[in-house]
Amino acid sequence: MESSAPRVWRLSALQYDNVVKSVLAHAGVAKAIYTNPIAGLTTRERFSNMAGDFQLSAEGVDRLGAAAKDVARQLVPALQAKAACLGNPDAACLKPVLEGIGLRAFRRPLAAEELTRLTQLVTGNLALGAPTAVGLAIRALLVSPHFLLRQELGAGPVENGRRRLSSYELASALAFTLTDAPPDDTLLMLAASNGLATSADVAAQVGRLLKGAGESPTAARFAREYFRYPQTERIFKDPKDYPFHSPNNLIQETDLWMKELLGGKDFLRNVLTANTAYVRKSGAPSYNLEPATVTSTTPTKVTLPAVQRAGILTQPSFLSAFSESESNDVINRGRFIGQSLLCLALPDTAPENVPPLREDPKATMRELLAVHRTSVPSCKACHDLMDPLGLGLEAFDHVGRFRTTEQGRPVDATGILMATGNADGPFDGAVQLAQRLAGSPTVEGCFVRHGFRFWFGRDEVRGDACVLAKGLAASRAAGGELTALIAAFVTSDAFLYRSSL
Amino acid sequence: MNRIHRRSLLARAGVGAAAAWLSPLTRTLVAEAQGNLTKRQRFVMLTFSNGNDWDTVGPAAYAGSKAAFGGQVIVENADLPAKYAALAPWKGRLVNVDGLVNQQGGGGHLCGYDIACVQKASKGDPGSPGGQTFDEHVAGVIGKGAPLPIIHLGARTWRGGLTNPDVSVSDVGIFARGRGQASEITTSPKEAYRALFGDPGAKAGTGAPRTDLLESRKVLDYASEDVKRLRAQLAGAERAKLEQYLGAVEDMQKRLFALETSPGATGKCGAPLTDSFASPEAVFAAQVEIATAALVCGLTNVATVSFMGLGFGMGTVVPQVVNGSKAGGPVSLHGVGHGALYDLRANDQFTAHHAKLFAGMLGKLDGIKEGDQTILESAVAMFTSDNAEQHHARGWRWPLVLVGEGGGKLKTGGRYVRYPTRGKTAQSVPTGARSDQRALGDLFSTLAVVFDTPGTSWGKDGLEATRGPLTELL
Repeated sequence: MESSAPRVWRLSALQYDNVVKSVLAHAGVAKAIYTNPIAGLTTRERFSNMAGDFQLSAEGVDRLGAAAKDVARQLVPALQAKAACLGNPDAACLKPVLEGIGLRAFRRPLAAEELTRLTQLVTGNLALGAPTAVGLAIRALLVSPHFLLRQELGAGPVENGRRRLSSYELASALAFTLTDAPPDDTLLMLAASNGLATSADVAAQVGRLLKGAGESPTAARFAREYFRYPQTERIFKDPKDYPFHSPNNLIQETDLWMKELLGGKDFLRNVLTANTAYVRKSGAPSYNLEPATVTSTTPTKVTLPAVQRAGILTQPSFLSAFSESESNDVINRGRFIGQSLLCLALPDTAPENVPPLREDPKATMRELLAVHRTSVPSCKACHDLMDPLGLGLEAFDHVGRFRTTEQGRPVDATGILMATGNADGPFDGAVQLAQRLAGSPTVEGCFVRHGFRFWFGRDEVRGDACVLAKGLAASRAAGGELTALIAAFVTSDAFLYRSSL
Repeated sequence: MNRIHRRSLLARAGVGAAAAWLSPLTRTLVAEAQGNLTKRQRFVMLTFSNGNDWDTVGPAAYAGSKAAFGGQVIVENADLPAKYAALAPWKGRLVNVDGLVNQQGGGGHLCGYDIACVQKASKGDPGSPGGQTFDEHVAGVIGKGAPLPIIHLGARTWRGGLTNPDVSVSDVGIFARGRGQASEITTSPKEAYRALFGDPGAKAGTGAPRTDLLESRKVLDYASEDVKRLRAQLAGAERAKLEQYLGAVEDMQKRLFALETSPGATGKCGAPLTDSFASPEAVFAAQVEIATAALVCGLTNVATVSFMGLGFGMGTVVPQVVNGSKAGGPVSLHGVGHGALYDLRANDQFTAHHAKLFAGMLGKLDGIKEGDQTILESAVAMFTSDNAEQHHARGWRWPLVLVGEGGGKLKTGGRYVRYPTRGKTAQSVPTGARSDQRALGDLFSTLAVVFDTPGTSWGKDGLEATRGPLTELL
């Protein structure tokens, strides 16, 4: 029987903010000023929020405590304004206050012993002053592992070696997975009234939370993290040489383009082949458009030449994300296609003792990279797979402009696609490459696997084969809608059940 | 050199706008520290990005093309290169080390954990650290005598060239607590200040006890109990997460207790915090001041301060630091590294600026006596780039400066010590390795001797063999 292993899962920085927002809103506080203690702690994983990715140091605890203190400082006066008894609180006064805050902080009702301990924390420290003492309880809630960690342990009787998530665990799992936010009032109410007990109950909430994928914050985040185009902001391009190049604008333009595709049919095919884009006047050169032909200063949808552009691999945001400051990053472009679209087992780091590319200003990148495939045996195995894919995008420069020459010679963007099953064959340029990829069942299966990793927050294992197959089937049955894939995942037994400890 | 008189120290305390709120802090610390501090060893690293260009790192006789392939050179009473001019007051008490090789991290824009001599081990741009870096190692020995074993402060500019001084980072890949455990670098001066000296509120500077420490401990007591209860419900890898959570909480509880009992945490260390830190250099200057204060105050014995201005190909504009470059105005640090904007002079101005900040730190450490020595005399302060010898580093030759006598164990004497080094062709391609090269890891073995810490080899053998301490420096 399908299930996943029990787990705890640290809130992401965004989720942390959203839970704090929910806690504050309960007391009528619109906004609090604090430093997010999780921001800046990035992951080495493909996706930013994987359940297994957990590190916490003393410095991290210190930052958690500092943020909790800042939140409490702003929350306590609001609570006191609503409950005058907090000026000199006793257990009866504290009970509704702590229960209300606790429900939002822990995304479940406080256990009796938790309420008792929190009450004692306040009443035992009233000598510090009531605001400080009440603040200690708020701070304790926000430093607790029940706040920081999403819990998916399962509850109730063991059946076939597995237990269903508790109603509150399920409410949290659905909410964070589909909205990056804690359960809203509807979900909390349903959790309290056993309203998530059936598959139909769950499906109804999935439909409500997911809306269209184009509106889903987690779908947008998936697209950003899967296709990695936002990393263009990490690549320096000298503004003197490329005044039109604006990473932030490019990212925004691709976000808009992606949003449109996320909400439609045939997402994967379209994201790999659509020759549309959102362009603004200042960035027109990135798309080989004359600024005079683009009049809008805000991103406007345009159709680009079908012989030049096809899908995400030809968006300037993507191309510049996979570049160096002054050149294409052919290897990483190829590695992206290999790892993310074909699920090839390629290493993330190069072996030791890789010789530097020779410095020959007249050589093409294809000529320079030949060293990895010819003279260094240890490099050949992987570069034979990666480099031809990356070289297929050589008709674009490092800021994403289409080009026909490199070093004064015609661009050679030819190659042979392998390891894709029925889509194998020769290609000449990005458009042909993208079309071959879009027709490949291997790419489709690889996409589903990455979707699984993102929405489940873990890598797939052998026991997940059925979930993957059902997700693929559901997506196909819905005409390639991403929402169908997501819904299939979050209504699966692997999402709803945990193996018993 | 002469000890800096207290008044003179106060006059020098300010470093740019960011120091305005820290000068009173330094003043208070100095006043408090004089007369009642006991001698202890300290280790400081100040690092900066973009490489410390090898062409201009040695005395004039060894600069530029004369820096080519050659054997070991020791120049006594050597002239300082222009970019180290700010270190002139310590000219006779430093050693300018050149020629150490260390290319485990692969170079590029960031040498990863190579700076403190542990190779990167796995995926990701800076990679995952392969082990413990020297700073963390030495903190496990000399750091035990202070409330905080080590502090990592820094300023960061990347991702769109922006500085976000409100987050801490662990992904820049410079220091590591152990294999796979990157050390977090606090890039927010406000956070650093709060963690070390408490909230910069109205009571700061009055000498009132820090009640915030006790309150925080009460909060962590509660959290600790929650962690233990949740841990009991878990097994395997999930339980390990809670073990780590508990360890972090308990670590913090110990630090809070140690801070409570530290003379430096009486509240006298506080001062109004008003700066907005609009530029990365302002952030960095503030972090240098905070680290200095923490060292002087006795809150820690080991500190690193890192200017991370060039990660992952990003650049930054530093008009307040680099003027008169051939670009004729503000320049990008990345831009001056190569290509049409290559500008050695601009990058050296950047290095010179950081040398001034380093000198400011040295001045304060050298201005306070503990027993019969100044803090600096019993310490070692290291100044180096996180990216070896050039913008696109290869780790062929890692320039660095050591100041301080390490309690008399480190031989400085104003020397330029260049270890056998390979040269470079016009295209910056190495002319070949030498069998008599010495590794950067050997320098850390040397410092391990200075600090009486076990350890003879740092980093992974293979690309360059470590052969033990550099006897010329002992």
